[in-house]
Amino acid sequence: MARTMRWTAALALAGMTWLGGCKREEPTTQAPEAVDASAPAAQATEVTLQLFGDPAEVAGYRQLVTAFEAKNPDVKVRLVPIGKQKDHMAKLTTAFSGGTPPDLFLLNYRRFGQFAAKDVLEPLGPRMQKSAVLKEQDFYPQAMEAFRYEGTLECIPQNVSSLVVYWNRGLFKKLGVPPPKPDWNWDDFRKTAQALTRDEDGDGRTDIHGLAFDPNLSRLAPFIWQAGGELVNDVNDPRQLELLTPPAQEALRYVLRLQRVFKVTPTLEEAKSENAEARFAAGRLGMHLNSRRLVPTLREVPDLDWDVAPLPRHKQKATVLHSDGFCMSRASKVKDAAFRFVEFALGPTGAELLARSGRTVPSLRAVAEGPAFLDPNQRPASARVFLDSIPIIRRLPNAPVWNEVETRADVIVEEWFYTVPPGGTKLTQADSKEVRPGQEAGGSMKRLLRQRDEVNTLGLEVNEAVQGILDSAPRPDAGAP
Amino acid sequence: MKARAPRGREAMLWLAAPFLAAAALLVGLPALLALGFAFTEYDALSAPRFVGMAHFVRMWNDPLFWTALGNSLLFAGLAVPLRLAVALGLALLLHRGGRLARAAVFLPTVVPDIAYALLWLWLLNPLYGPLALALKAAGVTSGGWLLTPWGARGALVALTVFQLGEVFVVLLAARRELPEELYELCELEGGSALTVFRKVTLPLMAPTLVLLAARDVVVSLQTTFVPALVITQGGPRYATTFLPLYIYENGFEYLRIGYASAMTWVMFLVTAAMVAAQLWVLREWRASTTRQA
Repeated sequence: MARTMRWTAALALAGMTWLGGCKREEPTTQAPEAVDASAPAAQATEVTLQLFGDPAEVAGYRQLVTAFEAKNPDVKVRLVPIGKQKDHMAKLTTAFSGGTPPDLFLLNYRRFGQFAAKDVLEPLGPRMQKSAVLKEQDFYPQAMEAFRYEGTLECIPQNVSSLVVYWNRGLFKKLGVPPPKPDWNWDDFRKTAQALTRDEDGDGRTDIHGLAFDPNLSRLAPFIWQAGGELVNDVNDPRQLELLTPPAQEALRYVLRLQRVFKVTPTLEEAKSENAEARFAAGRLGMHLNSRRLVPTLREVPDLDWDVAPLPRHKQKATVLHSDGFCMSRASKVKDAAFRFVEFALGPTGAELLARSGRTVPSLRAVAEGPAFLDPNQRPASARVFLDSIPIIRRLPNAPVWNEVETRADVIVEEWFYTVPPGGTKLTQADSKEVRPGQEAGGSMKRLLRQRDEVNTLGLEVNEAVQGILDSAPRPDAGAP
Repeated sequence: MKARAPRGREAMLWLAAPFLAAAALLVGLPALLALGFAFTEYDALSAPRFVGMAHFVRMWNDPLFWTALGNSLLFAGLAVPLRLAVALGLALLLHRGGRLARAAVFLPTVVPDIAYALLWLWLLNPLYGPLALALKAAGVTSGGWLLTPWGARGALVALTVFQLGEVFVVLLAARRELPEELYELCELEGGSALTVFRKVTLPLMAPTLVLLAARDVVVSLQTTFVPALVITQGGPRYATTFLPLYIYENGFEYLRIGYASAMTWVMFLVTAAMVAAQLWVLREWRASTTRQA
């Protein structure tokens, strides 16, 4: 008897431990798909939506959800906001691994490929074709094209943002620096950044920086395109990076000279102490390169007078596409309800709401051209800069391995950007290709090392780090349109 | 008939049963599954595909794996002796009293890992952090060394040194168990503090120290994850990319569960080998002291 009781107690303890470890996060109230529309509000179908953003950005989505639920009482949207994009991706992959992915989630076009390749996304193109609310021709094609995988529209873009120059109008006025011209070039840009860079108290440390941006592959890309180069050999099927071509080298030299010769950007120490967005909001940064997603946060900064300007041009104009799309999990049990939310969010009402929040450059043309986005009473006053950039917008690859390529490369780009060679920089104020140390005859590896300089070392090191990843990428389906 | 109460080994087994059951379910079973996945291409989204030893070959040729493994071993090599030395020093210093000081030593251990890492993120801010400001006040103008590979590694080692509460408590208990008569005898014979430490304290506490070292190696190989993720993000340039972080990135960012499982097992085997080596040293040392006696 006592033996039986002991066994029972042990099993109960083990069971409790097991159940404790397997506790669900929250009970769901998902109703069967068939009763979506007619179910009373008390048994509303629950749709989960996961996204990332700052509190100010997330506030816009909360408004969107509230407006949707008011019109669709049979559907409840559970918003799962994540602070950082990296954490958003990790949570998403973990949720897919665990078999509990959110019904809907926002993904950048550079990152949806790895999910599309695994066939875990419900393609939204066919649903869009049947939709009475969303018509493909009403959207900017630049954004739509970015979300096609092997010819199929997998996700639907909510925005068609691009990299622009945020500039502190108050600081420009205070320092007597002329505002950016609409057609400014690399030289104008550099001179403006120099005019803004100040050591105000004479302690040898720069107090106001002319320019700051995150040194990474996506920020470098528009400069390379402006110089007439390419980032990859084929944006649809990237097999190699093109950072060692002469136009790319010219662009990289320009960016590096801003840091090392003209010293208009924060040093590594300064950049790690305070990020560029905080520096801009605090009024200690003249210009900052970012996409539209910074707008809601900056609007909340009192007394900050700021605007946006296009990226400078060089041999040609170019900027890089920033676009997030609504994606649906193939495993979702509430696809119809989830798509109703997508229709609402991307339709005129939802797109206007998000545009007013400042978060998006709407992918829906009518809203982008309307007062919700171009509201003259809201910052940025020059919101049209985003629309004017659309014809010159270019995109990065959306291949399944691209997320990993960027992750690996960005570490190297950051180090390259901030680390001055031991002997000091050989770059000069005047742009010159002659930055290489003298070449001597020798073994191939020795020659390669001697040919390495502070500019081309980026291409050599990034190639070494990512070529294996690019080689391992699956070939696109030859039969795809 | 009155039931016989369990005694000795049987009683210990019953006491340990809940833990063993949970460990088997939550650690043993997943570990076995991971061993199976290590031989498959598995992304958790589609069915696993058997690839034999491919992941181990890939690991052999993966420079980042070796960097991560090297970083982990280096971290353990620096952190474990330092933690043990500091904990031992504090235990010897505080074994007679100083309740407040003991509480202060233990306190950082109860801070949740994320909060602790965020606190250090602020402390180590290269321009505005208290450490940088203190250095500046002391005439060291640049806190930039924190952004160098060795500076970042050193900072992570330093922050783990403060979380030594458990090691400290065990050493404190071990020291208090030592017979005071021995110390009184040493005092009568005029032995210096260093002699007493070398001839009495250290030999008597050595078994505890070795066991704690074995435990600390295991802990050190795992506890790098949160600070590396939050404070340094594995940088600068992979200097603080430890094996747990690299496994996490592969498993949960790139969906290479199979490859991550293979690396997890290698990490497990490395850990086991290190612990086995320490226990072997302890056994040999005990055998030699017994022979001498």
